[in-house]
Amino acid sequence: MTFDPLSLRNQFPIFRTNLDKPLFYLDNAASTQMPQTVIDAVTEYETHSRANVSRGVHRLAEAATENFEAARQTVARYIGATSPKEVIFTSGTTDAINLVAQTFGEQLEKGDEVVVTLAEHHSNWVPWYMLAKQKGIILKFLPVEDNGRLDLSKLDQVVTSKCRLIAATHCSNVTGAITDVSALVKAAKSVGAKVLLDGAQMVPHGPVDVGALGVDFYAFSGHKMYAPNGIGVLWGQQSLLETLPPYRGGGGMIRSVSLEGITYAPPPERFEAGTPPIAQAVGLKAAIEWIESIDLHEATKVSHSLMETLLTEMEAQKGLRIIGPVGVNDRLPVVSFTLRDAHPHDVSQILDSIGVAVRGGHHCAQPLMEAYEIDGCTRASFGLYNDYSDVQTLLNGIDKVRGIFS
Amino acid sequence: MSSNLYQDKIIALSKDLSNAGRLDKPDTTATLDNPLCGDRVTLDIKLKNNGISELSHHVRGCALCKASAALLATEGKAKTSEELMEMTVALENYFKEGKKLPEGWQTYEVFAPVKDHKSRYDCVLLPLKAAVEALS
Repeated sequence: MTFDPLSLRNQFPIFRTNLDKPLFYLDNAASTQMPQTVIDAVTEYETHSRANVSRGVHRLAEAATENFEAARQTVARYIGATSPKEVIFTSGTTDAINLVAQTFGEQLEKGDEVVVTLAEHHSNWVPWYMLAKQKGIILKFLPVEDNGRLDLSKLDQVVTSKCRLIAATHCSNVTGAITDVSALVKAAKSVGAKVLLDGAQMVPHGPVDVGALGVDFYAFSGHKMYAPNGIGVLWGQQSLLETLPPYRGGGGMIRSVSLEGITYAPPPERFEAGTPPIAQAVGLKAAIEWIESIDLHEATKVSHSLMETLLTEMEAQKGLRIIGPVGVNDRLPVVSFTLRDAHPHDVSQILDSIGVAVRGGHHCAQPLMEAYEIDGCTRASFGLYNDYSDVQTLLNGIDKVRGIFS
Repeated sequence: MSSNLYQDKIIALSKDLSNAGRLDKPDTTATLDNPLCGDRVTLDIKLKNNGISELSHHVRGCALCKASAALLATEGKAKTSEELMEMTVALENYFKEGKKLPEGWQTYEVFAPVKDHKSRYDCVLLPLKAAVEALS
């Protein structure tokens, strides 16, 4: 296999859309674009086999169920799950983490502790804050270092014998720093706590192996990995999922309902009340197969090269602060920065004027912004279709911002 | 073109710090956040005859928000709560529907380029909304 970002870009209709200017899409940490093959898979499902799943015996219902469960198997393979039954479809990462907070969290008691890191997206912060208010559990916070890495030297201080869960990102959506998961797992296991990883940023860049990671829960979204909106995944160890109460009540998650009471279905159905996102699951399957068709080893070389070029140029610029690690090792191609005298929203707006799509603001990571004493930052995040033209146009745009605000 | 948003007058206003900071013993204060983007405006206001006699602003936000706060510090003088409420609604309608601004607020036409950028309306409106809240 060879890797050519430009040929990949040609598979994405958004880049052929008649926009008023060329698109340099560097907002992939928010949402990636969808290749034609994913769009086609969704269209094919909606056109030829649309029905509800697990409820009918007619041929369309059977086809829909088959498609849906095939998606579950594909996800299981991609993340190294031992069984598709460990894969729960959700509406996204946020929903997946709330599921854990409301089911695993239901079993926690007043005084139990949950550790979150300062690098978390609000989706892995707010559910735990809400649970703390509901149940009287105590939140503890693992700080970050100036270079964007988690301060693992503080693990011993925040992980105590009362810790029941460490909830951490696998990769920061701001700094791009990849978490040293083994250190978290070791600390958690030493006190019998579980580990939940937010893998929303990680999984678009290639398969993960939840077994090798040694974690207990893993959450991610489809829309950041070239799949449609409205679908995400919670993976959990089967033996653990079986001990958890239901998340939401409704159809599909029960074994029987009578006046005498209710018995619940086993996982994963226990956690999938109501009609699931079927077309989105079909799209997710197609997206995973698309990612698997790419030479990711070569893709990583290209993304490192792009990141290295960008970081080197940025490091030479006065008044530009990179919010994240130095160098390209143990990080994903997510580069956040601040410019003296220019607010991230203004930077983003001016970049948009030359066709560069980036994200400016707090990135749903306000505790991290607070830790770095910044109002927000501008983030350029790369996908598999980005090349040097994106880097160069971004740098040209930064020059333009300086021209306006100097 | 988005870059037209950053015209010299708006940039100059955003850098005008003559009324930036905090007042000693203000009659009223309000802090307002834009939850979507994290911008935060704090206004301190002194009153005279039901109108604003002095206004200082502390803005954590973009150039548009800073420019709007700086303009409010001068154009808001002697304005009452009712007039500020009327202007806030009128400015929103000015952006959305191209309606005219009320008498006495024509200097806000400097923000005319914002009309083409829906996601930035709130950047300009936030200081006015903070003033309304402070006076309510």
